[in-house]
Amino acid sequence: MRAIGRGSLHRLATTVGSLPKRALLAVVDVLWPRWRLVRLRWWLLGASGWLTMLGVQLLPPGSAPRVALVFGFVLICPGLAFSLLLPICEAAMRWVLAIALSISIAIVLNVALTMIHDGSVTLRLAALALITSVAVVVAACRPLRQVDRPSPPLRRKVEQ
Amino acid sequence: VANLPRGDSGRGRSLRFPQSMALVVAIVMATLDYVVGQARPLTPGASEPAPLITGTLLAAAVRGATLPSAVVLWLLSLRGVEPTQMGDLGLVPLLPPLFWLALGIVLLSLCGQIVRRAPTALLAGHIAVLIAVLHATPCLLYGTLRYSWAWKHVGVVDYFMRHAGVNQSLVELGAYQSWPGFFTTNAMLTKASGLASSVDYATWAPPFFNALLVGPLYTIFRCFTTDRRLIWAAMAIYYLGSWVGQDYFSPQATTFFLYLSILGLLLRHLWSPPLALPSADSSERMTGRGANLPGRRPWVVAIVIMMAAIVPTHQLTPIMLICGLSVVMVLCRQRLAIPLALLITMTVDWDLLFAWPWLSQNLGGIESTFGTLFSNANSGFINLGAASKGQVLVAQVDRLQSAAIWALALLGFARRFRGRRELALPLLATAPISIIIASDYDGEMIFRIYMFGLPFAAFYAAAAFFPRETSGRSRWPRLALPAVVLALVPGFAFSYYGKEEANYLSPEEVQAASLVYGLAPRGSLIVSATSDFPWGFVNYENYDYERFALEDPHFRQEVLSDPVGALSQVMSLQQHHHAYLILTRAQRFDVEMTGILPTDSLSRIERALIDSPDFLVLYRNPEAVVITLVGPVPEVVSR
Repeated sequence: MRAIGRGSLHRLATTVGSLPKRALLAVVDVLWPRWRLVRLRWWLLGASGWLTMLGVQLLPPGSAPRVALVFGFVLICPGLAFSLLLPICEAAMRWVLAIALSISIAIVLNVALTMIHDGSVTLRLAALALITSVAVVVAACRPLRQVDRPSPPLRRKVEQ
Repeated sequence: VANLPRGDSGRGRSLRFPQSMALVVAIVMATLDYVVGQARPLTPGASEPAPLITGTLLAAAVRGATLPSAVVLWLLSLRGVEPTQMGDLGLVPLLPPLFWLALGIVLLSLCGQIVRRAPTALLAGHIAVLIAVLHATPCLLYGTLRYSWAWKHVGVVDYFMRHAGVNQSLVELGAYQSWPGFFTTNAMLTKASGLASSVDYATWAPPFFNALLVGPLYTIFRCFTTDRRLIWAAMAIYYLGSWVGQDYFSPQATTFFLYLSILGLLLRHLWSPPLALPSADSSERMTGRGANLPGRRPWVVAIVIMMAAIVPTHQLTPIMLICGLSVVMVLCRQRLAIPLALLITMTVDWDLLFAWPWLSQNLGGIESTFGTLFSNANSGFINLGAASKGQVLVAQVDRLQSAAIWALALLGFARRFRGRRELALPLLATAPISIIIASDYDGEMIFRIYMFGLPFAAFYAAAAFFPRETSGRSRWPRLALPAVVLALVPGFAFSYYGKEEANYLSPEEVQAASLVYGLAPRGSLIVSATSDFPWGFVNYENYDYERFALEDPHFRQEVLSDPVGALSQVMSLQQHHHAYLILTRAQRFDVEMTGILPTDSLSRIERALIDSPDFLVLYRNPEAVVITLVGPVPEVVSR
């Protein structure tokens, strides 16, 4: 009984211990073929917020690169990432949306945090970085869903 | 301060060699560019005039060189302009002929490119240079932040850099605590960048915001036409008609960009049936269209995010948007109920839950102006009987400029509207007018209405030249467009640059204000004639403010007849442990411009205070003076 119990516990521990690794491998197996098709610039866009936070830590206060980095990220990147989720055909519309949505997201976030009396700049930048990354990842996963689900004519053929 | 030379610099100065050379090159290039543009239309047409110049290489070289030479000319023209010598007509007499030539060259070149239907990138480049010439000129000349209101916005950003939340008990600039979106965002930007104050970048707000507007304007115009001539002529007319000056570092400039972006998105992707139907003109393709694209939901989400940003940022823009969307929904029969309902809900919720402390305090003022149509319409205009001669001219010119653009828009409307389903544009142009019933918005409502309607009016003003894609091939629009565009330049210049003596705040004035804010302990009183000086830009919530020229006429008369007695009472140490009076050049002009105090009255007040033993001059430079009351500290305060 004790041996059985010990063996079961060992197997259970092995199974549970390997779960995160398996899950990670499964996610990578499923997503990697599509994600590697995503252009490098979108990966950079997804990482832009975190790079900005790194820049804020490393660059001297008020220096031109730091100002450009912060303003460039806050005023362009979250909206540009969000615009990837929209069916836009025109470059002009994408850029209008990128800036308008970036400003809007920044305002909404800042007002929300001001209302709860939180003045942390790091938290605000981290939230914007997270929004940007999530939007890029969702945009990268979207073709996957469309590919996985056959289009109606194809589905009809399969059913026949 | 009183004896400044006024408005006579920069004229009659001989041109130096580089300027002369740049001038010659630019004029030659512009002339050639226009001739080439006239002679070589890009779009193939059946009845085009015969080419005058056949060399494609020459044409390309001329086109490539015109704009850079105009930029060089413009930059050279700014050397030697002294804003401290500004007079009653603002910056207009100070700008040398080279500046006007550079501007003329840009506009002529733009007209030439519009007529020949040049590529979008080239036309956008011209508009970018036009924006730079019109709006970056004061930034380059002054070296300080323009508009006293921009300084107080810097002050509110400074407040949010030092505080985590809003404080609705503040009386001074209390509205900004109720609509803090713009300020909290800038506080984050400033802190993350490691800047000491937003004043470091706020100077460049006018060219920045004007450049931002190109995108939404292009998107909106593209919904109604594919004719590049109409789109970019409308853009040029918009920038020459936009004299209201709401493009500075402010919530209004931000929300106006979002307002136009929402309308652009809505017209392009949520409109059904399609816009710009080719019913009257079969050659014009349908462009604005949401029905072809899959799903309205993502666009509604994007619009709602922008609306959610407008609501806590500016009190007027959501009302303008509600007004525009309601009219369009009802009269154009559009399915906009969900975004409109969400906008109304967000606005009402914000006003009741967050902005109510400020609204309840100001409800009396809002009620008193509600329904007073003519009073609201006229309250923003200066009193022409009391204002200075130069400002009377400026006021007349800006009214004429606005009327001219609207008259042109009516002509364009008459030429274009027939047979088209473009009801949205005229409705959006006129919808803001209905707001005039609600309030006078501290005398600014009429200007805001003009601003919100201008993009759509500019489209029709351009349509006066190009009502159809097939039209405009005769000589009339080719000559009329540059003539009208050039005729709008003086109007814009007087309207936009004409009040610069009040808007310009010199480094000396900034220095005096910095001294006051550096010196004054918390709880001090800061007195001035008007708010037209760099005020409140740091620790603004720690002080009380008094503007004696804006008080009731009885008190103003008291100050004029006995400055020492009246101001001793105001600055009494019974009420504030320290009190500082700051008088500056811009305030002097402000009271003369509006006519609230007689000419030279501030100089007389200043002299009387300096001569009085009760007052002490703390600081003085040619542009500003800081005076404090000298007296025994009252018993109550000293305890």
